[in-house]
Amino acid sequence: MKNKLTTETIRQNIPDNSTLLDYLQNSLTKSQKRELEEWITDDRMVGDAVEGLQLMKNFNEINEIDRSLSLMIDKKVSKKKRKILQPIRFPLWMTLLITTTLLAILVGYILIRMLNN
Amino acid sequence: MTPMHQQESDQSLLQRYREAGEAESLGILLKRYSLMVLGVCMKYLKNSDDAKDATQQVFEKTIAEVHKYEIPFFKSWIYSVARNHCLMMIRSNGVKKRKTEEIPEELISPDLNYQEIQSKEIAIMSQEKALLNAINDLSEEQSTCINMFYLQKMSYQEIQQKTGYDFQQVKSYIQNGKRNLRILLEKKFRENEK
Repeated sequence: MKNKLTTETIRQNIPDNSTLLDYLQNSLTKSQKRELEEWITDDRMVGDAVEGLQLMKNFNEINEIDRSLSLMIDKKVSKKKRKILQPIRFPLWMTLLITTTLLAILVGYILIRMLNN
Repeated sequence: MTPMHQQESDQSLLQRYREAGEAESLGILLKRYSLMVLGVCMKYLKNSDDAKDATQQVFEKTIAEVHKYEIPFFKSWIYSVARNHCLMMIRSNGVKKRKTEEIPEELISPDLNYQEIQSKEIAIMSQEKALLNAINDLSEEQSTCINMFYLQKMSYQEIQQKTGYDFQQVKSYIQNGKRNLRILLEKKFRENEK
């Protein structure tokens, strides 16, 4: 195990899930634990989160909830993806109908203008 | 989902989602915060089922509304959303085990700009000498915890074992001790200026 929390963890500005779980199970090294506890003290969100997770105590429950949250996120996000990326497709007959109608309006307009002149 | 995506910053993932419509970036971002948000909800709701429901609702809200807001700092934003959601649940009696009288004071207080607080705290921590003098003016519990954590470099667990306080008390004494130190130091600096 590394002595320091990963650069990745630090770059993300929050401890990653595995670091949090390791802390709760007391399996971080002394220096990693120190680093995380300074974080807990200085950062309100991290402090609140660890305090809350400490109340759960049952790691299996935390893992189970985390898994179900991941599934929920995947499901919701994939729906969002379909919503965002799905192009609007008209059936051919509707496209032809709209085009013909627009052309008829345009031709009618031009004819009326010419007759008036 | 590539490892490169996993290493991207919050802002970069958010930008990818907003500008290119890459929904998977939003997924990575939310999964990154899953335990953090669960923990925050658990802290305020004190019940794992309620906390799980609240976390799901926070994420659903985030997925539905994230494109509507300018979010300069995602972490602060989602923290605010989670806290406000828990507060709303408590106030609407959605959480029966908790009465409104029990809402923690810090939850009601509007100071969510904790980046600012943090930077002030960091600046204050650099004034080590003045800090050491001020520690003695704190309450006994705060002084003990601050001493053990910062000067003796003890872990939360060791402090708990030595003092008999639980995790929440140790965290609270250290955080409140730091805040009170700031107040004491600011007062002292003002007096020195006069």
